[in-house]
This record gives sequence, C-alpha cells and structure tokens, in this order.
Amino acid sequence: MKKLLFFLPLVLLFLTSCESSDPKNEVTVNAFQVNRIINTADNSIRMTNCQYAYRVDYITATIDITIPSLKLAETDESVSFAVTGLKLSSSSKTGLTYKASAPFTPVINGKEDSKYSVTSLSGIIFNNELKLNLEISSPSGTFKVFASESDAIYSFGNTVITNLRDVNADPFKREDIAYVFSLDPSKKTASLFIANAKFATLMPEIAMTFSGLTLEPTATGYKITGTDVIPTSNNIPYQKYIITDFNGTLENDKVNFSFVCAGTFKVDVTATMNSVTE
Amino acid sequence: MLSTIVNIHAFASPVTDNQFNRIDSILSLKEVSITAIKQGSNLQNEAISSTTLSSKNIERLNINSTNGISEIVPNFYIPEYGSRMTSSIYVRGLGARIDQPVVGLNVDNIPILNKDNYDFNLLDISRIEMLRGSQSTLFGRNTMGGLINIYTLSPLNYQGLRILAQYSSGNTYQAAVSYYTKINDNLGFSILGSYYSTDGFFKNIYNNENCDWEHSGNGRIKLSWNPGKVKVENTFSFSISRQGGYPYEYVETKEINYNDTCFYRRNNFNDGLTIRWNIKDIEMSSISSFQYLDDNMTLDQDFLPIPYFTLTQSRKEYALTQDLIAKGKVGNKYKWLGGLFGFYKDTDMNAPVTFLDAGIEKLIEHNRNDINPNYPIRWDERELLLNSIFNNTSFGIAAYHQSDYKIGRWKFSAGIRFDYEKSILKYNSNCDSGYTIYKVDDDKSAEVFRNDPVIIDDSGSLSKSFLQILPKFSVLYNLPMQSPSNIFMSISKGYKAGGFNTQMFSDVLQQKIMSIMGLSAKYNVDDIVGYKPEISWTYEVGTHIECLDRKIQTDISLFYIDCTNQQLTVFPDGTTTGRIMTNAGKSRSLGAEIAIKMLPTKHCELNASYGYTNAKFNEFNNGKSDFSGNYVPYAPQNTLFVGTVYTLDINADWLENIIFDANVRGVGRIYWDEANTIAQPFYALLGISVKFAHKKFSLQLWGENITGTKYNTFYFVSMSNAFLQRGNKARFGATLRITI
Repeated sequence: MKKLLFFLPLVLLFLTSCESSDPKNEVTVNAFQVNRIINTADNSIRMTNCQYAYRVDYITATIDITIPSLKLAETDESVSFAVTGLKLSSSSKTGLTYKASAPFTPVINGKEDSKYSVTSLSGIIFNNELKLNLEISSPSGTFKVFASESDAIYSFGNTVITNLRDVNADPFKREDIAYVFSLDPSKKTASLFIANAKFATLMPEIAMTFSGLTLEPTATGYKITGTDVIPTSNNIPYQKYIITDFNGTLENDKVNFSFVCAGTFKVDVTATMNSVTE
Repeated sequence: MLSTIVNIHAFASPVTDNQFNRIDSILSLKEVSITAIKQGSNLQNEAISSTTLSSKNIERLNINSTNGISEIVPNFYIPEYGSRMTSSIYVRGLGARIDQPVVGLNVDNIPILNKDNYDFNLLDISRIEMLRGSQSTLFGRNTMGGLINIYTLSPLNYQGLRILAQYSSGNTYQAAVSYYTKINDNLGFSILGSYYSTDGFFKNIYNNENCDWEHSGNGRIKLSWNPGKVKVENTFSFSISRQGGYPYEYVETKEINYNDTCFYRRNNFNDGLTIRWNIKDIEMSSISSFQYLDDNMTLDQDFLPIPYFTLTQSRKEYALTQDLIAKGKVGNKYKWLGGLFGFYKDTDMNAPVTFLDAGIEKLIEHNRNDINPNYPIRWDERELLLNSIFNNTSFGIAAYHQSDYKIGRWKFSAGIRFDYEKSILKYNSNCDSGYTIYKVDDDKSAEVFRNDPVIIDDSGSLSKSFLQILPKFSVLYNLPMQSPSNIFMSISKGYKAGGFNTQMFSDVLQQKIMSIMGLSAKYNVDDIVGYKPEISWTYEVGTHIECLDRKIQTDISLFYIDCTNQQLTVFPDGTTTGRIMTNAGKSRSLGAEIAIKMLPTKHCELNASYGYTNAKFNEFNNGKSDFSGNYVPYAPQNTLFVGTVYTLDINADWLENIIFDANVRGVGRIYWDEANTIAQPFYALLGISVKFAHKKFSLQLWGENITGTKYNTFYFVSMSNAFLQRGNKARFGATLRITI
C-alpha cells in the first residue's frame, strides 16, 4: 500500500496533457517543518520551526521550493528563499528525490541575490513533506540546513521492556508499537505519543503522551531527554506511570530511545521512520 | 405451495409388520424403502460410513430430538446444554458451538440452513441416517463432518391415526396426534400436531425456580402426490418453543444462581417441495424450500447473582434453497449424478448488551481507575446499553457432479463440486452515555475534573466471499461373500463456511469506549469479526460385512482428517462479554469406528458401536499460549453404545409381545479447554425399557441414566469464572402409543 501511494505521483507523471499549465498536472503543498541549522564556521547548531512550500510539476518532472521565512543566523533578518525547476527523479528505494545539479544563486526576497550561493541542495519528498539538505553561503556565513518533518512517525521496530524489580524475568518484547514524535524547536520541546503503550503483560494498552521532553539539535539529528514526566492520556495525567531517565536520538530515519516507566519498567526502543522502502 | 404426492424411489421388497418388529435395530437398508435422492439405494453398498435408525429404534430408545442419536452413532456426539439453540454436533474431532456447523441436517431432503433449528422434537420419523465423513461434494457447505438425514412418514406408505402420550420425570409430558390418509390411490395427506412441556430439573436458587422449563408445540402437514410421471411431495412444518434454558452452574459455588432473566423463544416454519420426474432415461429432481426463523435469546450473560450484564439476541431470518439434480446411467457399469444448488439467506438481528451496575463498576470503572487512581471515573448512569444491529445477507451457488463406474466387483467413484458463497454484513453499533472524571487530592478529597460524553454511532459493511472446489474419490470392492459385503477407501475434501461473528461487536464497542477513555482499543473490527472457512481432507478405509445370513452385520472404519483454519470458539480476555471464533491453525484427527449388529436368535438382538478419535492441534497459538499438540476441546475421545433387545412372544389377543431393552451409552474423555487442563472423564449411562406391545397400541416403561451417573455436558469460562452444565439426572417415564 505504501508503495502504491508513493508511486501515485509517478503515475501522474506519465499522464499526457496538452496544457503544461493544467492545474491537474501540478500539486502545491505547504508544510510546517523544523530546520536544524549548522554554522560551518564554529559548528554551532540551532533549530527553528519553518514553513516550506513546494510545487511539483508532473509534466516537466520538476519541483519548485520556497521557504517563505528563512533565518540562517540567529541575528539575521528572515528572508524568503526560492529555487525553481529542480529535477525530480524516482526510485523504488528512495521514492521521489530532487537534487541541484550544480551550485546556483537562489532567489532571495523575490530576486536572484549574488550575496547568496547554494553549494548543494538535495532531498526527498516524504509523506507530503520535504526532507531537505541545503548548504548555503550568505552574508553571515556558510550554513548547512537540514529540514525534516515536525511530526515524525516511527513504526514498530523493537521494543524491549525489562522489569527492574525482577531481574530473573524474561524481557517483554513487542514489535507492534508505533511512536510519534512531535518537535517544537521554538519551545525546545518534543512530545512522544504512543497509541498502544503496554509495558507488561498485565498492563492494559494506554494511549499515552509524554509532553515537555527537552529537544536539542545535534550534528546528526536531535537529542531528546527528560525525567519526571507525567504522561497523559485523553488529557488526563497518569501519575502512576511517571517517566524518568528519558534519553533518545533521532537521526535521519532511525530513532533510539529508552526510559523508565513507573520506576519499574525499563523500555528500550529501536525503530525506523515510516518509509517507502521495503 | 399446493400439495402433491411423492413416490418412494425403490422398494426392494415390501416390509411386513413382523419384519419391522424383528428389524428392531440399527439396521441396514436392504428391506427398507428409500426416499434418498443423491445417495445410493442402500448405504451399505456405498463407500460411506453410516448408521441408520429405524422408526422402531427411535421409539424404543425414546429419541425425542436430534440429541437422542448421540453416542448411538460412533464418534457422533451432540451434548445437551443451554437451549434448543445450542445444537453443537461433534463428529470425529470436528465440531462447532456457534455459527456454522460441521454436520448438515436434511429433513425429507430439505437442507436446514441454520444450525439453531437443528434441535426439534422428532415425531413420526420413518428413519434417521447419519453419514460420517465429508459429504461436501454432494451436499456442500457445512457437511465436512457428515450429514444427518431425517425422513418423516409418508401418507402414501402409511395410513392411520397415531396417538402418543408420554409422561416422565420433572413433570414432563408430551402429547401428539397424527393422521395419515390416502385421498385416492395417488394422493396422500397427513397432519400432525404435538405439544411438549417440562418443569425442568435444575433449580436457580436465586429465585428458587427451575430454570430449564420448556413448553413447545409442533405441527406438520404433508401432501404426497404420485400421478405416475411426476412425483411431488410438499411438507410444511412449524415449531413454537419457549424455554428457560441455560442451567449453568458456577464451579466455585456449585450452584445455579443468577439474578437476571434467561430464556429462549423460537418460532420457525419450513416448507419443502420435492418434485421428481423423468426426461427420457434421466431422473430429474427439484428440491425447493423456504425456511423462516424468528427467535430471541436473552441471557444473564455473567450467570451470577450479581448485576454484571445481560445480552439479547433477537433475530428474524428467512432462507430459500433450490437444488436441481439429474441422474442417469449408461449401461450397467456407469452412473452419473449432477446438480445445481443455490441458496439465499437474509438475517436481521438486534443484539444489545446492557452493562448493569456491577458490570460498569468491575469491567469499566475498575479497569480504568486501577491504572489512574488519581483521576478516577464514575459512570453517570448505572446502566450502559451497547446496541448492535446487523443485517447479514448471504447467498451461494454450486455445481456438482459424481460418476460411478463398476468393473466386476470394483466400483470407482469420483465427484467434484464448485461452490461459491458470499456473505455481506451491515452493522450499526451505537452507544449514548457518559462519565465524570474526578481529581483526587492528597487529602483524598475529590472534585469534578471533567465530564466526558461517550457517543458512538458506528456503521459499516463487511463482506466476504468464498470459492471452494470440493473433490472426492472412492474405491469399493464387493467381497466374494454370500451376503453383500465390501471394503472401501475414500478421500474427500470438506468445507465449513466462513462468516461473521456478530457476538464480537459488543466487545468491539466496549473497546471503543475504553479507547475514548484513553485506553487503547484492543480489537480491529475487520480482523476479529470475520472468520475464514475451515477446510478438511478426510482419508478413510472401511468395510461393511454381513454374514451368517445377515445375522451378523459389522461396519468398521479407520479415518484420518487434516483440518486447516479450524474454527474454534474461545472466550477472549477475562473481562469481555462474548465469545469469538478464531481460525485456530491446523489440527488433525485420526480414529476408528466399529458397529456390530447381531441377531443370535429371532427373539434377541444385540447392537454395539464404538468410536475412538484422537484429535489434536498441529498448530494453534492464540497469541498468548501455544496449544500445538493439545487435544481439540469439546470433541470426545470415545463414544460407546451397547444395546440388547429381547422380545418375548405372548401372542394373546390383548398382548402380542413384551420387548425388553437395556442399553449403555458412554462418552469421554472430553477436554473443555485448549490448554487441556480440565476434562470430563469417560462416563456411561444405563437405560432400560419394557414395552408391552399390541397390534394397535403399546405401553413402554422406560428409564434413562437409571444409576444416576453424574457427569457434565458443557464447560466454559467467562470473565475468569468457570461454569458447567450438569448432565441429565435419572429419569423415568411411560409412553403410550396408539395406532388405529
């Protein structure tokens, strides 16, 4: 099913149309995402919320990307960034990908600005959002920008639960739990939603949300930590299942994290972001 | 439908009354007229393991319903429990407690589509045949374990007035009157009416009343017309039944003690029209039927004196069947049979589950508050109605063929059936309720945190379709003996239809409520409600032997059955409401059967049958436990019947003879659960009767389970509570029959 949905745009690419400007041959998407920005001069890292807009033309197989408000350095004014006519390609493993074939001058605030230069730009379209890797020179320096979705779903994978109060018990394992991380760089927080949290045989499945986890950008992704987090379900706190020692990393399409629930269950998770590759 | 006459297919030779009296046994069919259409004229000449009960047998063994043939037929078990709706039949390790059966039931060639109609009073029955092994090639769905054929008396073969009056333990009485007449040489008419009532035997101590009472009435009108070229028979039957039922005893207290109402009400009528005619040398038959069922099962679903929850299942269903059969032969060596079958069934069901005060507290509030005592909830009302309404439409069409070829003493048979069926379920599950969330402070004081409504209105449609190809092959060799004897082997594929488990919807609704409350829903509707067909392959070898001028008749068979996607009834986690059907993986069943009839003297007769079944799961893991290698539950490992009849001739004007009968029925071991942790050991029940017979009347004094053996017929666990139903206690009665 995932493959089918993913290749639907490819199918549309092969539809013939006499009118290249026919709206049926285009799709425009606005997505609210997060940016992780590395200043190559001092390797400092910051993160921001960011809106992306892109338009895909199925006839010409190109993508135009617009960032209405891009702020590279903390002290910079926000500028709009745009690039048009990037070539789209596809593969069964990576899906729809785009890449600038050579360095170019982007459109800044509506016109090409030679003070900016894009060294490299590439990425994929994933779940209607952009994963984007951008290296750009600006008046305030050279930056690497990594854009990703603000709500990242990591499905299933391996969840191993160890009972800290019974060292002889076999670990409780599950492969059917899905984890959804929501990132908010503006507040430097992340939340984790687990639709079917169950850490022991006798524990009922609970739809749990861990809110207020600490979010930090790293050179390769994000680090999420937290302790004494009271999970909620249906907006009701569940003191009994208090979370301590939450430590995790989100890097590309992988997530690894662990935490202790109710002071008893040590939960270790390794999962992969929902992906079209199989 | 207007009445018409049917003529019997073949008379080998007419049967005199004396011969009937002597053939007072589980008999072969050589002398008895046949009304079967698809089978051969004599089942003993077929590659089938079968048992036939004559009308005399049925009367002498006091068989009042289909349950009565249990154990008499080897490896054939119909436990008596619950109500008339719970007709669970187990054959050779195959069986089912809800939804689709493994054994089909035909009454005068009409297939009874709904298993819930299988249990009815048997009156004026000409004979009962039980065919064991898959009959799916000729008879289609739900005959993978076998087929029961019941034939009622025909007014063209019997004329007279029959009166039955019976009284027995438990203030149980039955009265029946039937009249058979020939309007002319070609037209016969019969009418039957009966009434049955019992006060029951098991007391519900909550209200100090017997819970297994019953009152029921039955009627049948038959018209048979045989003008010569066309033979037509129409049978209209109806049944009205009201019963308490469900005498389930709580294992922990050894008491039947529940506070809410339990009953089963059923009204049904069937009309079957059979027409037979010839087109040149081809025998054509058309069997049509209309079947209507209107019933209501209401249960105190927890069977405890605590108001947990109640269940009602109210249903109206009608069904149409049509079977068109052609038979012919080429020379003396080749015979063929082909047919087309179709059915249509439409069911409307209303199945509300009502959670009462204790049920809300234990099953909902307790579950929820245990995991969040700081924010406990309390339901706003102390009754919670989970309403479910369904419409299930199913239809099917099949084409089948069988060829028989004789070479000398050998007979080779091959058949195939293409069977397509579709089932569409439309459902609506709804609930309109709400609860209040409290916040408990450190000083234990509670204040209202929030009030949440619970409003659910889910509708949807599910459909499943099944296509099955059902082959069979058999070889029979007629032994060079004076009396007809043979050995045979057969391979056949069987099929039990898939469908929808509507009982699960209340559980799905309950889980939806839990998910609204923040507890994750456990069930996926599509995954749990639907279940797949069960498929079997039966391999069998057997023999029918007659010797000493038919004074000894022996049937022996060995079988092996491979079953995939076996449908099993299980109760889900301890705190849910209904049962679910799961496809258990794979099982296998192997065993043996032997049936012997001996006539050592003209006054004495001995019948014995024994069946052994070893049925185990090859693969069954329900996600929590692995039951591979365990015995299949509810299927008995042994069945036994031994009966002896002695006829003492009196030959007086007022008394012809006295017939003494003693019999033993045994069954067991039966495991009650997949884990094989609890079982009913083998038990035996002794029955006796003395019948004073005159040409025009008879008085039979009888006793069943006269030694008062204690045994259980049913066991289940619900909400972590174990229940069982005790077997029938000792019963004694008298039956007066008058024939004029």
